[in-house]
Amino acid sequence: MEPQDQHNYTKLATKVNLYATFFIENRLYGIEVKKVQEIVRTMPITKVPLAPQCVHGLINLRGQIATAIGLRELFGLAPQVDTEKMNVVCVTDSGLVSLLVDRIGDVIEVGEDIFESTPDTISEDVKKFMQGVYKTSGQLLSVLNIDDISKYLNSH
Amino acid sequence: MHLVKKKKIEFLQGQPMYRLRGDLLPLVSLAKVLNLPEQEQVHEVSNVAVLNADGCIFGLIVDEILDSADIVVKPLSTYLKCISAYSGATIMGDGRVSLILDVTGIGELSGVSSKVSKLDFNHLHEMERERDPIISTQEFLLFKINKGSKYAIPLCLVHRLEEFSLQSIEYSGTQRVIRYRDSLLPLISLNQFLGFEVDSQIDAEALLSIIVVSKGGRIFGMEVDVIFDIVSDERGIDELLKDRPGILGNIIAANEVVVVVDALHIIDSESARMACRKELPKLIKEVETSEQKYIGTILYLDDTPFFRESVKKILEKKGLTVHVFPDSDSLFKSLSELKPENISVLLTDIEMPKMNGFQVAKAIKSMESWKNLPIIALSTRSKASVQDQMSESGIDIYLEKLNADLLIEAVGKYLVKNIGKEYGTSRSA
Repeated sequence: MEPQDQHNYTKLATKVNLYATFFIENRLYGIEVKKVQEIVRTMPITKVPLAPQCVHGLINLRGQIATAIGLRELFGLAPQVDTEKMNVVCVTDSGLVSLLVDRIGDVIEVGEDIFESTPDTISEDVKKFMQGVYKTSGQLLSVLNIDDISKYLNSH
Repeated sequence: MHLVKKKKIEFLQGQPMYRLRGDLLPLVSLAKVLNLPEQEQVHEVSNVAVLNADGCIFGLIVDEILDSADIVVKPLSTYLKCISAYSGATIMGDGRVSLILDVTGIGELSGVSSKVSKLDFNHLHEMERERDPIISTQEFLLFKINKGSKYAIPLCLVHRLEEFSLQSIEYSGTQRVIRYRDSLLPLISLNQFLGFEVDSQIDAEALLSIIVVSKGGRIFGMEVDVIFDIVSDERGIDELLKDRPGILGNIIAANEVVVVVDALHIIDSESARMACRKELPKLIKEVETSEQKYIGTILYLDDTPFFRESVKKILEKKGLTVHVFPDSDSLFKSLSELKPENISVLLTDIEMPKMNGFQVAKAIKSMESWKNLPIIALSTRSKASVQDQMSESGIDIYLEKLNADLLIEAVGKYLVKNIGKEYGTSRSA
């Protein structure tokens, strides 16, 4: 992943968006930077019995309680055991949500000229949370909508 | 709550029982209720906590009893609100997050305090609603101001509790502020606002206790002397005695009268002062219209007991009939029984578990018989942050919680028309 390459695509006239990126199973995902509060390493987690599978538990973020959500479980992927997970902490209507991801990528700047809506062949499990795709030079960037994730979790 | 150690457990029809002072105490394994793998056989139980869920006494089997502690309960995310086993979470002294069990919820999940034998979650929730649709307890945070007098604020308004050192206070003009999470937290001294003497001899090392309250997308810090407890109250706020502006009324907590401050009113008038407006224009209007009464029926949907009570009181004072609903299910159920021509306005909260206010509005606007019902949203979020969703959902008016005059004014818009219509039809009839 070479973020510098993005500049080649970014013309002056196009609107530019910033995304915090991360990896799950070596696939690149991004969330709008303004929705991300911070990124933290593995935190002690308190499990919540009876909660849906994707809710890993609660973490203490300097006195605030955040709900940790496993994106693997949310996307219907096999859960990864015993690997260090990074927390992407996002601000939502329902409070702080910490998304557990495999690895953190760069914050990248992409122009809207390389944006495309989500192709129909993408599995519905992931598609329902996707805003679209940026065709960046290195790897395709799937953009997730944290509000859709929050909405989904509220209705389940 | 008692603790019972290493006692023999008897079985009645396969269910564990314990003889407590001659009475049978049904036992429930917490691990089983929470669907966790059980550590030991029930015979080796070492600890039983005796609990009372709505009058049903039962024993909860736990692995180990650690300690007792005074805590501040934080609400769980709305994703987890539908799990009745918990009432919240808290952060322990060592930084770990601990879940708070809801005794009534555990009782119902285990089948002790209800007639439901199977652990069917949805069914249990419906039972809970039918039994107790509206009345629920309100929680208050207790603090001290005015040289040790006890005051309270509804807990649902409290965003966070913080402590700051005196050194962290800075000044923006004459307004005291604290830099807090990338924004400015303006401080409002409750002693000062309510006209009490401010203690000038403050220890430089002392920490300030601040109750952070959010309103309209902004946060404000209420400075108090000491924060000391949380109580729940079922009797509601007695609004008869208010000796000064900024007071909502009184509650009785632990056999003492505690004054409840009107945090939203205080923020309203303080933020007007901060923005250099001499007086709120709507206050003048209030005098003119305060005597006016209205006729009509209002539906109000909100998941927070405090707001259900306060809004209901505000509207009932104006002669209106108010039906309150704690969730969208109960609202839609009643809509099928009500006649659209009898209902003037629907008021709805925005942030609620399950369906939020926008979704409710959208659903109602798509119903043939209810599509003309005016909908007013009442929320603690700022209007700017929800502009897009608002126009899409069909909400007619958006109000910030909670200004009684603006609420009456907004509701009044639809009521005047309705009364006119009623006169019209009665004359022609």
